[in-house]
Amino acid sequence: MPTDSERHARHDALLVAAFAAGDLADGERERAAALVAECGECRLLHDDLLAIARATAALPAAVRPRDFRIAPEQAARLQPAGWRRFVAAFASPRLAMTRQLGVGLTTLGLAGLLISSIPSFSLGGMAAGASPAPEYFSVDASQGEAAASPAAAPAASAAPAFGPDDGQTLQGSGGVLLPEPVVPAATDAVTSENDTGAGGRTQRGTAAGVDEGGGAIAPGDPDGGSGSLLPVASAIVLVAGLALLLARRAARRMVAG
Amino acid sequence: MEDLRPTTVVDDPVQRRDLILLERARSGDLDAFNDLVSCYQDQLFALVVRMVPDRDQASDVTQEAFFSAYRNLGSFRGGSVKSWLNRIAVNAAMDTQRARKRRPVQPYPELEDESWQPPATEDADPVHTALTTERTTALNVALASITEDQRTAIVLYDVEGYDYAEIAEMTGVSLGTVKSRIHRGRLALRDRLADRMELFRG
Repeated sequence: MPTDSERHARHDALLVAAFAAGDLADGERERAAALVAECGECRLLHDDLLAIARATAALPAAVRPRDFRIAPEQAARLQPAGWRRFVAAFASPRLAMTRQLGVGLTTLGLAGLLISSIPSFSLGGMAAGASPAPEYFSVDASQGEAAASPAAAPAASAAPAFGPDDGQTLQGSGGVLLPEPVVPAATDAVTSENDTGAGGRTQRGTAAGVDEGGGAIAPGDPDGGSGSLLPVASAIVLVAGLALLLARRAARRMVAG
Repeated sequence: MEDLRPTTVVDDPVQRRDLILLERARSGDLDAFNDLVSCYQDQLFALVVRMVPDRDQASDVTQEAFFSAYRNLGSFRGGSVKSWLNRIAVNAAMDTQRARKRRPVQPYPELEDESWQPPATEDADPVHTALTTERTTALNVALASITEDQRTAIVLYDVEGYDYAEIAEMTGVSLGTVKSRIHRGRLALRDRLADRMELFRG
Protein backbone atom coordinates (compact mmCIF):
# COMPACT_ATOMS: atom_id res chain seq x y z
CA MET A 1 0.00 0.00 0.00
CA PRO A 2 1.54 3.35 -1.06
CA THR A 3 2.38 5.85 1.64
CA ASP A 4 1.01 9.41 1.71
CA SER A 5 4.32 10.66 0.39
CA GLU A 6 4.26 8.23 -2.53
CA ARG A 7 0.70 9.20 -3.37
CA HIS A 8 1.58 12.90 -3.16
CA ALA A 9 4.47 12.41 -5.60
CA ARG A 10 1.87 11.60 -8.24
CA HIS A 11 -0.18 14.72 -7.55
CA ASP A 12 -0.01 17.75 -9.79
CA ALA A 13 1.90 20.46 -7.89
CA LEU A 14 1.27 22.97 -10.68
CA LEU A 15 -2.47 22.45 -10.28
CA VAL A 16 -2.13 23.20 -6.57
CA ALA A 17 -0.07 26.33 -7.38
CA ALA A 18 -2.70 27.54 -9.82
CA PHE A 19 -5.38 26.82 -7.22
CA ALA A 20 -3.46 28.80 -4.59
CA ALA A 21 -3.23 31.71 -7.02
CA GLY A 22 -6.98 31.50 -7.71
CA ASP A 23 -6.42 30.97 -11.43
CA LEU A 24 -8.49 27.84 -12.04
CA ALA A 25 -11.81 27.50 -13.82
CA ASP A 26 -14.70 25.61 -12.29
CA GLY A 27 -13.86 22.00 -13.16
CA GLU A 28 -10.18 22.18 -12.35
CA ARG A 29 -10.83 24.22 -9.23
CA GLU A 30 -12.99 21.44 -7.83
CA ARG A 31 -10.34 18.85 -8.66
CA ALA A 32 -7.63 20.94 -6.97
CA ALA A 33 -9.82 21.61 -3.95
CA ALA A 34 -10.43 17.87 -3.56
CA LEU A 35 -6.69 17.26 -3.83
CA VAL A 36 -5.91 19.84 -1.16
CA ALA A 37 -8.66 18.47 1.08
CA GLU A 38 -7.57 14.84 0.79
CA CYS A 39 -3.77 15.06 0.62
CA GLY A 40 -1.95 16.49 3.62
CA GLU A 41 1.17 17.35 1.64
CA CYS A 42 -0.82 19.09 -1.07
CA ARG A 43 -2.53 21.09 1.68
CA LEU A 44 0.85 22.03 3.15
CA LEU A 45 2.12 22.99 -0.30
CA HIS A 46 -0.98 25.14 -0.87
CA ASP A 47 -0.54 26.93 2.46
CA ASP A 48 3.19 27.41 1.89
CA LEU A 49 2.59 28.96 -1.54
CA LEU A 50 0.12 31.40 -0.04
CA ALA A 51 2.62 32.28 2.70
CA ILE A 52 5.38 32.83 0.13
CA ALA A 53 3.12 35.09 -1.94
CA ARG A 54 2.27 37.12 1.17
CA ALA A 55 5.92 37.39 2.18
CA THR A 56 6.96 38.43 -1.34
CA ALA A 57 4.34 41.16 -1.40
CA ALA A 58 5.59 42.41 1.97
CA LEU A 59 9.28 42.50 1.05
CA PRO A 60 10.84 45.77 2.15
CA ALA A 61 12.18 47.96 -0.60
CA ALA A 62 15.93 48.07 -1.06
CA VAL A 63 17.60 51.32 -0.11
CA ARG A 64 18.68 53.38 -3.11
CA PRO A 65 22.48 53.64 -3.27
CA ARG A 66 22.68 56.99 -5.04
CA ASP A 67 20.82 59.91 -6.51
CA PHE A 68 19.59 59.36 -10.06
CA ARG A 69 18.80 62.96 -10.90
CA ILE A 70 20.33 64.15 -14.15
CA ALA A 71 23.01 66.82 -14.24
CA PRO A 72 22.75 69.58 -16.88
CA GLU A 73 25.82 68.32 -18.74
CA GLN A 74 24.31 64.81 -18.86
CA ALA A 75 21.04 66.26 -20.08
CA ALA A 76 22.88 68.07 -22.87
CA ARG A 77 24.46 64.82 -23.99
CA LEU A 78 21.15 62.98 -23.85
CA GLN A 79 19.30 65.32 -26.18
CA PRO A 80 19.07 63.53 -29.51
CA ALA A 81 20.92 65.34 -32.25
CA GLY A 82 21.19 65.02 -36.01
CA TRP A 83 19.62 61.90 -37.47
CA ARG A 84 18.65 60.62 -34.01
CA ARG A 85 16.47 63.66 -33.45
CA PHE A 86 14.88 63.11 -36.86
CA VAL A 87 14.25 59.41 -36.23
CA ALA A 88 13.10 59.98 -32.64
CA ALA A 89 10.36 62.24 -33.96
CA PHE A 90 8.66 59.18 -35.46
CA ALA A 91 8.01 57.79 -31.98
CA SER A 92 6.01 60.86 -31.08
CA PRO A 93 2.29 60.25 -30.55
CA ARG A 94 1.65 63.08 -32.98
CA LEU A 95 3.13 60.95 -35.74
CA ALA A 96 1.30 57.80 -34.71
CA MET A 97 -0.36 57.70 -38.11
CA THR A 98 3.01 57.00 -39.76
CA ARG A 99 2.52 53.31 -39.09
CA GLN A 100 -0.79 53.18 -40.90
CA LEU A 101 0.62 55.37 -43.65
CA GLY A 102 3.67 53.12 -43.96
CA VAL A 103 1.55 49.98 -44.09
CA GLY A 104 -0.76 51.60 -46.65
CA LEU A 105 2.06 52.77 -48.90
CA THR A 106 3.82 49.41 -48.68
CA THR A 107 0.61 47.59 -49.56
CA LEU A 108 -0.06 49.94 -52.44
CA GLY A 109 3.48 49.55 -53.72
CA LEU A 110 3.34 45.78 -53.53
CA ALA A 111 -0.07 45.73 -55.18
CA GLY A 112 1.18 48.01 -57.92
CA LEU A 113 4.21 45.83 -58.56
CA LEU A 114 2.04 42.72 -58.61
CA ILE A 115 -0.43 44.28 -61.00
CA SER A 116 2.30 45.49 -63.28
CA SER A 117 3.74 41.98 -63.35
CA ILE A 118 0.48 40.56 -64.66
CA PRO A 119 0.88 40.15 -68.42
CA SER A 120 -2.36 41.90 -69.30
CA PHE A 121 -1.20 44.98 -67.47
CA SER A 122 2.46 44.87 -68.25
CA LEU A 123 2.13 43.89 -71.88
CA GLY A 124 2.43 47.43 -72.98
CA GLY A 125 5.22 48.14 -70.57
CA MET A 126 7.18 45.12 -71.63
CA ALA A 127 6.57 45.77 -75.23
CA ALA A 128 7.65 49.30 -74.75
CA GLY A 129 10.67 48.06 -72.89
CA ALA A 130 11.49 45.64 -75.65
CA SER A 131 11.24 48.24 -78.32
CA PRO A 132 11.07 51.94 -77.88
CA ALA A 133 9.24 52.30 -81.14
CA PRO A 134 5.45 52.75 -81.00
CA GLU A 135 3.56 49.49 -81.26
CA TYR A 136 -0.04 48.90 -82.00
CA PHE A 137 -1.95 45.71 -81.97
CA SER A 138 -4.49 45.19 -84.58
CA VAL A 139 -7.28 42.77 -83.87
CA ASP A 140 -9.45 41.80 -86.66
CA ALA A 141 -12.10 39.26 -85.81
CA SER A 142 -13.42 39.01 -89.28
CA GLN A 143 -10.13 37.78 -90.55
CA GLY A 144 -9.26 35.73 -87.52
CA GLU A 145 -5.64 35.93 -88.28
CA ALA A 146 -2.85 38.20 -87.56
CA ALA A 147 0.77 38.37 -88.25
CA ALA A 148 3.27 39.25 -85.62
CA SER A 149 5.43 42.20 -86.24
CA PRO A 150 9.08 42.11 -85.26
CA ALA A 151 8.51 44.96 -82.87
CA ALA A 152 5.57 43.39 -81.05
CA ALA A 153 6.89 39.85 -81.01
CA PRO A 154 8.56 40.15 -77.60
CA ALA A 155 5.32 41.33 -76.09
CA ALA A 156 3.43 38.43 -77.52
CA SER A 157 5.95 35.92 -76.29
CA ALA A 158 5.96 37.51 -72.87
CA ALA A 159 2.23 37.13 -72.64
CA PRO A 160 1.41 33.68 -73.93
CA ALA A 161 -1.98 33.66 -72.24
CA PHE A 162 -3.19 36.11 -74.75
CA GLY A 163 -2.21 34.32 -77.84
CA PRO A 164 -1.48 30.67 -77.41
CA ASP A 165 -2.74 29.91 -80.83
CA ASP A 166 -3.22 32.01 -83.81
CA GLY A 167 -6.80 33.00 -84.24
CA GLN A 168 -7.92 31.95 -80.76
CA THR A 169 -10.93 33.89 -79.64
CA LEU A 170 -10.55 35.46 -76.26
CA GLN A 171 -13.90 37.06 -75.74
CA GLY A 172 -17.41 36.63 -76.90
CA SER A 173 -16.92 39.61 -79.09
CA GLY A 174 -14.70 37.52 -81.26
CA GLY A 175 -11.76 39.78 -80.67
CA VAL A 176 -8.39 38.25 -81.13
CA LEU A 177 -5.40 39.79 -79.51
CA LEU A 178 -2.43 39.29 -81.63
CA PRO A 179 0.29 41.61 -82.66
CA GLU A 180 0.28 42.89 -86.13
CA PRO A 181 2.35 45.46 -87.83
CA VAL A 182 -0.19 47.99 -88.90
CA VAL A 183 1.73 51.09 -89.46
CA PRO A 184 -1.11 52.98 -91.07
CA ALA A 185 -3.32 52.01 -88.13
CA ALA A 186 -0.89 53.76 -85.88
CA THR A 187 -1.74 56.94 -87.54
CA ASP A 188 -5.40 56.08 -87.16
CA ALA A 189 -4.92 55.35 -83.51
CA VAL A 190 -3.45 58.72 -82.87
CA THR A 191 -5.79 60.64 -84.99
CA SER A 192 -9.07 58.89 -84.23
CA GLU A 193 -9.03 58.00 -80.58
CA ASN A 194 -12.78 58.29 -80.27
CA ASP A 195 -13.55 56.29 -83.29
CA THR A 196 -16.10 53.64 -82.40
CA GLY A 197 -16.75 52.14 -85.75
CA ALA A 198 -16.82 48.41 -86.26
CA GLY A 199 -14.08 46.50 -87.94
CA GLY A 200 -10.69 48.02 -88.04
CA ARG A 201 -11.47 50.37 -85.22
CA THR A 202 -8.54 51.71 -83.37
CA GLN A 203 -8.16 52.55 -79.76
CA ARG A 204 -5.31 54.30 -78.07
CA GLY A 205 -4.22 53.35 -74.63
CA THR A 206 -2.68 50.54 -72.69
CA ALA A 207 -3.34 46.90 -73.32
CA ALA A 208 -6.03 46.81 -70.69
CA GLY A 209 -8.74 45.66 -72.94
CA VAL A 210 -9.71 44.11 -76.18
CA ASP A 211 -11.74 46.14 -78.52
CA GLU A 212 -15.17 44.63 -78.78
CA GLY A 213 -15.38 45.02 -82.44
CA GLY A 214 -11.95 43.66 -83.03
CA GLY A 215 -10.34 47.00 -83.48
CA ALA A 216 -6.74 47.84 -83.07
CA ILE A 217 -5.43 48.13 -79.54
CA ALA A 218 -2.55 50.36 -78.73
CA PRO A 219 -1.13 48.84 -75.56
CA GLY A 220 1.47 51.41 -74.84
CA ASP A 221 1.99 55.05 -75.08
CA PRO A 222 3.43 55.86 -78.43
CA ASP A 223 6.41 57.35 -76.70
CA GLY A 224 6.87 54.14 -74.69
CA GLY A 225 6.67 55.92 -71.30
CA SER A 226 3.34 55.14 -69.62
CA GLY A 227 3.81 51.37 -69.81
CA SER A 228 6.71 51.49 -67.38
CA LEU A 229 5.19 54.16 -65.18
CA LEU A 230 3.23 51.79 -62.92
CA PRO A 231 6.14 49.60 -61.79
CA VAL A 232 8.36 52.62 -61.22
CA ALA A 233 5.69 54.47 -59.27
CA SER A 234 4.89 51.31 -57.30
CA ALA A 235 8.52 50.80 -56.44
CA ILE A 236 8.80 54.38 -55.24
CA VAL A 237 5.65 54.03 -53.12
CA LEU A 238 6.89 50.70 -51.74
CA VAL A 239 10.27 52.15 -50.80
CA ALA A 240 8.60 55.16 -49.18
CA GLY A 241 6.29 52.90 -47.16
CA LEU A 242 9.12 50.65 -46.02
CA ALA A 243 11.23 53.69 -45.11
CA LEU A 244 8.40 55.03 -42.95
CA LEU A 245 7.95 51.69 -41.21
CA LEU A 246 11.69 51.31 -40.63
CA ALA A 247 12.00 54.85 -39.30
CA ARG A 248 9.14 54.25 -36.91
CA ARG A 249 10.58 50.94 -35.77
CA ALA A 250 13.97 52.54 -35.18
CA ALA A 251 12.34 55.36 -33.25
CA ARG A 252 10.45 52.94 -31.04
CA ARG A 253 13.63 50.99 -30.37
CA MET A 254 15.31 54.22 -29.37
CA VAL A 255 12.44 54.92 -27.02
CA ALA A 256 12.58 51.43 -25.52
CA GLY A 257 16.35 51.57 -25.20
CA MET B 1 4.69 70.18 -27.42
CA GLU B 2 1.53 68.14 -27.27
CA ASP B 3 -0.89 69.11 -24.58
CA LEU B 4 -1.45 66.03 -22.46
CA ARG B 5 -4.15 67.37 -20.25
CA PRO B 6 -7.25 66.77 -22.35
CA THR B 7 -6.39 63.13 -23.00
CA THR B 8 -5.49 62.07 -19.50
CA VAL B 9 -7.27 61.54 -16.24
CA VAL B 10 -6.25 64.30 -13.88
CA ASP B 11 -8.50 63.59 -10.92
CA ASP B 12 -5.65 62.08 -8.99
CA PRO B 13 -3.51 64.91 -7.55
CA VAL B 14 -0.33 62.84 -7.83
CA GLN B 15 -1.01 62.14 -11.46
CA ARG B 16 -1.87 65.78 -12.07
CA ARG B 17 1.41 66.81 -10.49
CA ASP B 18 3.28 64.24 -12.60
CA LEU B 19 1.67 65.47 -15.81
CA ILE B 20 2.49 69.07 -15.04
CA LEU B 21 6.10 68.17 -14.31
CA LEU B 22 6.31 66.07 -17.44
CA GLU B 23 4.90 68.81 -19.58
CA ARG B 24 7.41 71.28 -18.17
CA ALA B 25 10.19 68.74 -18.72
CA ARG B 26 9.11 68.34 -22.32
CA SER B 27 9.42 72.09 -22.69
CA GLY B 28 13.06 71.79 -21.67
CA ASP B 29 12.82 72.29 -17.92
CA LEU B 30 15.43 69.90 -16.49
CA ASP B 31 14.48 70.75 -12.91
CA ALA B 32 10.95 69.56 -13.57
CA PHE B 33 12.28 66.26 -14.87
CA ASN B 34 14.56 65.93 -11.86
CA ASP B 35 11.54 66.51 -9.61
CA LEU B 36 9.97 63.49 -11.27
CA VAL B 37 13.18 61.54 -10.70
CA SER B 38 13.09 62.50 -7.02
CA CYS B 39 9.52 61.25 -6.76
CA TYR B 40 10.14 57.87 -8.34
CA GLN B 41 13.80 56.95 -7.96
CA ASP B 42 13.26 54.95 -4.75
CA GLN B 43 10.42 52.98 -6.22
CA LEU B 44 12.16 52.42 -9.54
CA PHE B 45 15.38 51.23 -7.95
CA ALA B 46 13.42 48.87 -5.69
CA LEU B 47 11.71 47.42 -8.75
CA VAL B 48 14.89 47.06 -10.78
CA VAL B 49 16.96 45.55 -7.99
CA ARG B 50 14.35 42.82 -7.56
CA MET B 51 14.67 41.96 -11.23
CA VAL B 52 18.45 42.39 -11.37
CA PRO B 53 19.56 41.39 -7.89
CA ASP B 54 23.02 42.90 -8.19
CA ARG B 55 22.99 46.32 -6.57
CA ASP B 56 25.67 47.87 -8.78
CA GLN B 57 24.06 46.59 -11.93
CA ALA B 58 20.61 47.56 -10.72
CA SER B 59 21.89 51.05 -9.99
CA ASP B 60 23.24 51.38 -13.52
CA VAL B 61 20.01 50.02 -14.99
CA THR B 62 17.94 52.51 -12.98
CA GLN B 63 20.11 55.40 -14.11
CA GLU B 64 19.87 54.23 -17.69
CA ALA B 65 16.09 54.02 -17.35
CA PHE B 66 15.93 57.67 -16.30
CA PHE B 67 18.27 58.64 -19.14
CA SER B 68 16.00 56.79 -21.55
CA ALA B 69 12.94 58.52 -20.12
CA TYR B 70 14.58 61.91 -20.54
CA ARG B 71 15.67 61.14 -24.09
CA ASN B 72 12.16 60.04 -24.98
CA LEU B 73 9.96 62.51 -23.19
CA GLY B 74 8.23 63.08 -26.51
CA SER B 75 7.06 59.50 -26.66
CA PHE B 76 4.88 59.73 -23.57
CA ARG B 77 1.33 58.96 -24.68
CA GLY B 78 -0.57 60.21 -21.70
CA GLY B 79 -1.91 58.16 -18.82
CA SER B 80 0.15 57.39 -15.74
CA VAL B 81 3.67 58.80 -15.62
CA LYS B 82 4.54 56.23 -12.97
CA SER B 83 3.48 53.36 -15.23
CA TRP B 84 5.43 54.90 -18.11
CA LEU B 85 8.58 55.10 -15.99
CA ASN B 86 8.04 51.59 -14.64
CA ARG B 87 7.70 50.27 -18.15
CA ILE B 88 10.96 51.89 -19.20
CA ALA B 89 12.70 50.48 -16.12
CA VAL B 90 11.30 46.98 -16.72
CA ASN B 91 12.49 47.12 -20.34
CA ALA B 92 15.94 48.21 -19.22
CA ALA B 93 16.09 45.46 -16.60
CA MET B 94 14.95 42.85 -19.11
CA ASP B 95 17.63 44.01 -21.55
CA THR B 96 20.21 43.45 -18.82
CA GLN B 97 18.78 40.01 -18.10
CA ARG B 98 18.96 39.14 -21.79
CA ALA B 99 22.56 40.33 -21.94
CA ARG B 100 23.38 38.10 -18.98
CA LYS B 101 21.80 35.16 -20.75
CA ARG B 102 23.89 35.80 -23.87
CA ARG B 103 27.17 35.84 -21.97
CA PRO B 104 26.89 33.79 -18.80
CA VAL B 105 28.52 35.41 -15.80
CA GLN B 106 28.70 34.71 -12.12
CA PRO B 107 25.35 34.09 -10.47
CA TYR B 108 23.94 36.96 -8.52
CA PRO B 109 25.71 37.46 -5.20
CA GLU B 110 23.83 36.57 -2.06
CA LEU B 111 21.96 39.59 -0.87
CA GLU B 112 22.72 39.88 2.76
CA ASP B 113 23.81 43.47 3.10
CA GLU B 114 22.02 45.89 5.35
CA SER B 115 20.35 47.72 2.49
CA TRP B 116 17.74 44.98 2.28
CA GLN B 117 16.79 45.06 5.93
CA PRO B 118 13.52 46.63 7.01
CA PRO B 119 13.99 49.72 9.15
CA ALA B 120 13.82 48.84 12.85
CA THR B 121 11.65 50.98 15.08
CA GLU B 122 12.58 51.71 18.67
CA ASP B 123 9.65 49.81 20.12
CA ALA B 124 10.05 46.86 17.80
CA ASP B 125 10.29 43.45 19.36
CA PRO B 126 13.90 42.30 18.79
CA VAL B 127 12.79 38.71 18.23
CA HIS B 128 10.19 39.80 15.69
CA THR B 129 12.71 42.07 13.97
CA ALA B 130 15.28 39.29 13.79
CA LEU B 131 12.67 36.92 12.37
CA THR B 132 11.58 39.43 9.75
CA THR B 133 15.18 40.08 8.79
CA GLU B 134 15.91 36.40 8.45
CA ARG B 135 12.77 35.83 6.39
CA THR B 136 13.53 38.76 4.10
CA THR B 137 17.08 37.58 3.54
CA ALA B 138 16.01 34.00 2.84
CA LEU B 139 13.34 35.13 0.39
CA ASN B 140 15.70 37.51 -1.42
CA VAL B 141 18.28 34.77 -1.82
CA ALA B 142 15.62 32.38 -3.10
CA LEU B 143 14.27 35.00 -5.50
CA ALA B 144 17.74 35.62 -6.89
CA SER B 145 18.15 31.91 -7.58
CA ILE B 146 15.03 31.26 -9.69
CA THR B 147 14.91 31.95 -13.43
CA GLU B 148 14.83 35.55 -14.57
CA ASP B 149 11.52 35.13 -16.33
CA GLN B 150 9.90 33.70 -13.21
CA ARG B 151 11.45 36.36 -11.00
CA THR B 152 10.28 39.18 -13.27
CA ALA B 153 6.72 37.84 -13.30
CA ILE B 154 6.63 37.36 -9.53
CA VAL B 155 8.12 40.79 -8.80
CA LEU B 156 5.71 42.54 -11.16
CA TYR B 157 2.72 40.63 -9.78
CA ASP B 158 3.38 40.21 -6.08
CA VAL B 159 5.61 43.19 -5.35
CA GLU B 160 4.50 45.81 -7.87
CA GLY B 161 0.87 44.75 -8.01
CA TYR B 162 0.45 44.65 -11.80
CA ASP B 163 -2.24 42.36 -13.13
CA TYR B 164 -1.62 39.48 -15.51
CA ALA B 165 -2.60 41.45 -18.62
CA GLU B 166 -0.28 44.33 -17.78
CA ILE B 167 2.61 41.94 -17.14
CA ALA B 168 1.89 40.13 -20.40
CA GLU B 169 2.05 43.43 -22.27
CA MET B 170 5.19 44.57 -20.48
CA THR B 171 7.10 41.35 -20.99
CA GLY B 172 5.74 40.53 -24.43
CA VAL B 173 4.37 37.08 -23.61
CA SER B 174 0.89 35.59 -23.42
CA LEU B 175 -1.37 35.74 -20.41
CA GLY B 176 -1.02 31.98 -19.94
CA THR B 177 2.76 32.25 -19.94
CA VAL B 178 2.63 34.93 -17.26
CA LYS B 179 0.43 32.74 -15.05
CA SER B 180 2.62 29.72 -15.66
CA ARG B 181 5.76 31.69 -14.77
CA ILE B 182 4.20 32.88 -11.54
CA HIS B 183 2.96 29.42 -10.54
CA ARG B 184 6.22 27.71 -11.41
CA GLY B 185 8.21 30.52 -9.82
CA ARG B 186 6.37 30.14 -6.52
CA LEU B 187 6.88 26.39 -6.62
CA ALA B 188 10.58 27.00 -7.26
CA LEU B 189 10.72 29.43 -4.34
CA ARG B 190 9.09 26.87 -2.08
CA ASP B 191 11.63 24.33 -3.27
CA ARG B 192 14.54 26.69 -2.46
CA LEU B 193 13.01 27.57 0.90
CA ALA B 194 12.13 23.99 1.88
CA ASP B 195 14.44 24.09 4.90
CA ARG B 196 13.34 27.59 5.96
CA MET B 197 9.59 27.36 5.55
CA GLU B 198 9.05 27.57 9.31
CA LEU B 199 10.00 31.26 8.94
CA PHE B 200 6.96 31.81 6.75
CA ARG B 201 4.38 29.60 8.44
CA GLY B 202 2.13 30.72 11.22
